[in-house]
Amino acid sequence: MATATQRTELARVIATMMQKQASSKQLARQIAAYLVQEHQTKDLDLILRDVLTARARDGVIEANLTTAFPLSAGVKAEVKQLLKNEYPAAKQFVLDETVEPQVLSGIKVQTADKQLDQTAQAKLDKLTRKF
Amino acid sequence: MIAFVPIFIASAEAAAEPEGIAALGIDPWAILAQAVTFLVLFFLIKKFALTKIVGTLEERRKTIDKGVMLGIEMEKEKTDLDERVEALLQKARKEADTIIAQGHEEAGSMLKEAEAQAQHKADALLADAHNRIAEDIDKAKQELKKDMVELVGMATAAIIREKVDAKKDTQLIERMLEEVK
Repeated sequence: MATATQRTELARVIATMMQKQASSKQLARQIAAYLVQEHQTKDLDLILRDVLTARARDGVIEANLTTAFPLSAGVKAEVKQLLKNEYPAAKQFVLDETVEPQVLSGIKVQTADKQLDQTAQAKLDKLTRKF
Repeated sequence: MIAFVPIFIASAEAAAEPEGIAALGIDPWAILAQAVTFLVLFFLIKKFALTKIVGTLEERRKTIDKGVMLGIEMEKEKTDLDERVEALLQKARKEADTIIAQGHEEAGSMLKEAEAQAQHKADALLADAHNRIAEDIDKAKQELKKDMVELVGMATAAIIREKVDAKKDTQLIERMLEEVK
């Protein structure tokens, strides 16, 4: 398992490559090959979080949106506005959509350092945990 | 030989006829002779036998007196001994009564203590049982609550899946984002 410093360094490199490289698929393949070679596949989630943090420092806010149905343009615009209010210094906002029917309804917005979970499933889980 | 003197005098006088006081059958010479004989006999016995006899009698008297005194003493001592024995027996009876009374008292207090301990234990067991029952009830309530909440969650999820489409979901999301602003 890589140390925090090694991960941070790797994340910085990946963030830089993402800015320069146009094809995300090729970049993803390169990253995957590296991780497999270095036996660091278990650190993937941590590395991705570090990449998001590195990009945020560079002014690029990447947000994962999870919904039960595909998002309309109006909702995406509202989410972008919300992110602008949250990160006024950011230069660029990248929205990654994920459709997961198991969230039932609502939206989950996840950035490198913050999360807004307004899905029905989260509320039901909270209710269950309360009792 | 002297003993025969009165006999000889008596026979001599028997030959003569009695006169005066002798007519009554009282012979002064015979009385005198008898007196003399008595005195002579007395002195002889006193000299040769009386001392020994008296000594022996005195000894016997002393022995008897001694025996009597000893008897009296022993009687007295026996009485004393009986009194002492009686006193000791009374003391022993008193002590025995005291010991028995103490024993009864101790047994009584031990019984009371044992009863109190048993009661205490019974109370503790009862309280413990009550507590366990209360705990079991609470646990059952919690589990029932949990099951109910799960069922409610499942029902809610099913209803949402049934009722909420893309359009309604969009409306919900817009409302949520409005609230978060």
